[in-house]
Amino acid sequence: MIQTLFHRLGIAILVVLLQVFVLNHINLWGYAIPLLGVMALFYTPLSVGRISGMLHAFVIGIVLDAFSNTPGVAAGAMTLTAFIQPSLLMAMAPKDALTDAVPNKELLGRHKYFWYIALLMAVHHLAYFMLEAFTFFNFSTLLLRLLGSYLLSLLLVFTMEMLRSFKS
Amino acid sequence: MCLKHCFLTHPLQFSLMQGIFAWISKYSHWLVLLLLEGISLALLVSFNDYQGSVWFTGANRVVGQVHEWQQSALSYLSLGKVNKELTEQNFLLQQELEVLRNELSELTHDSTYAERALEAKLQEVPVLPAQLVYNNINLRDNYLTINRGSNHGVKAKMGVVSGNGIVGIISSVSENYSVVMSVLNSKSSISCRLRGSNYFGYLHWQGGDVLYAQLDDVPRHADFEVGDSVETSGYSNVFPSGILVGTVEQINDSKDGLSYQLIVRLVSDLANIRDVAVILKEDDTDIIP
Repeated sequence: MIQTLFHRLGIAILVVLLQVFVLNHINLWGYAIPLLGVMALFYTPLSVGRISGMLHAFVIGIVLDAFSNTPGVAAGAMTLTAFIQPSLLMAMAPKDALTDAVPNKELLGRHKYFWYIALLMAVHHLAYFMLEAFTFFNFSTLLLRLLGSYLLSLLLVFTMEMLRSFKS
Repeated sequence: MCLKHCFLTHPLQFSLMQGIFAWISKYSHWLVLLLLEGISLALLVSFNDYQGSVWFTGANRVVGQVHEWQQSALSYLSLGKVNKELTEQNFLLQQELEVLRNELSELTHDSTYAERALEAKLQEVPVLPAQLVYNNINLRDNYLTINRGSNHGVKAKMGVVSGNGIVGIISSVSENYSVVMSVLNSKSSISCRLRGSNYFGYLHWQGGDVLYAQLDDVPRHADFEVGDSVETSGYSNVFPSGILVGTVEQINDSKDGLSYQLIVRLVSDLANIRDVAVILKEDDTDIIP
């Protein structure tokens, strides 16, 4: 339990540093921005519970917001993603899996793991860009930014996942 | 169990209380979701006002300090380029100054008057040099952070300029840092005019390319062409008049067909600025933001 907590805290700090110091300065053609804060929510086991998962996500979101001058946007998107995550994991994990098993390629299988990440990121990016466009609706620009950023973030996440599996 | 028996003796009361507790524990995750999303929306909405909370932004002391460290670590990498740009700009300005000084002394036939007029004009606009510690062009509503705050006399709604154009307007201020609403923000609206004429409109930005903004509400009878310069009008006292903003790139009709909408190519590349200046104004009597 304690080990899981430290593991999740470590991932959260790494992800925040990466987002704030590197990714916040990347912008491809004005439409694609990488948002990897959501990575901190991938590895939460079911035993953590939905409510503490959401609080964890909210705090990470607030920190990201403070560093990017976007109060409320990342916090809202992260909270919603953390709300969805246990249901998605429950539906995808094998029935005999332990509740404190960390979701990864071995637990879910290559195929399901891909969809698990892709769906979580889709929820996060949708919520993020809807919140960002809160008072204003320019549909084609919104759609382009959403799609561009989603594809870019997905590409980065899978590159990192691949590097991680090479190392181990 | 004992507590329940002691305090909740009435059977109806017991079942009602139990029902409420059961309902709350069953749907508690929904309540937490609504609460947290509510807080997020409240932060988002309050930041959209001009003087929103500084706590959750780059004006926060910790965040500002971290940005400043990062900026100072990275700034050495681009010093060569910055230096070159400053030298070029300095050269151009000196040339311009020379030409203007000659013209003024020819017109007034009095070189000391020209000197005095120039000095008076410069003193009219007190500026405070500052540095960007956080710059963002990624979003539709971009905000920047500078390393000057209320301790240095910065107040909300002051204008911020860079060496070659406007940057934005101060939106919230803490002791040592301020957040600037960038020109590249859908809520930014700056009164501008076409250089050499009195036709004016409002400068807006709706996302997309960071090099282009639009000038809305330019009247139908205005006389101009592609390539004309656009400058601040000075109708609000956020910016003094005559600061170059950009050049007209394309002329479109507005959606209602009653005015022109000009696509303006901005002169300041907001992705690559570091040194800026805050325009300190004494009074707060502006009408147009």
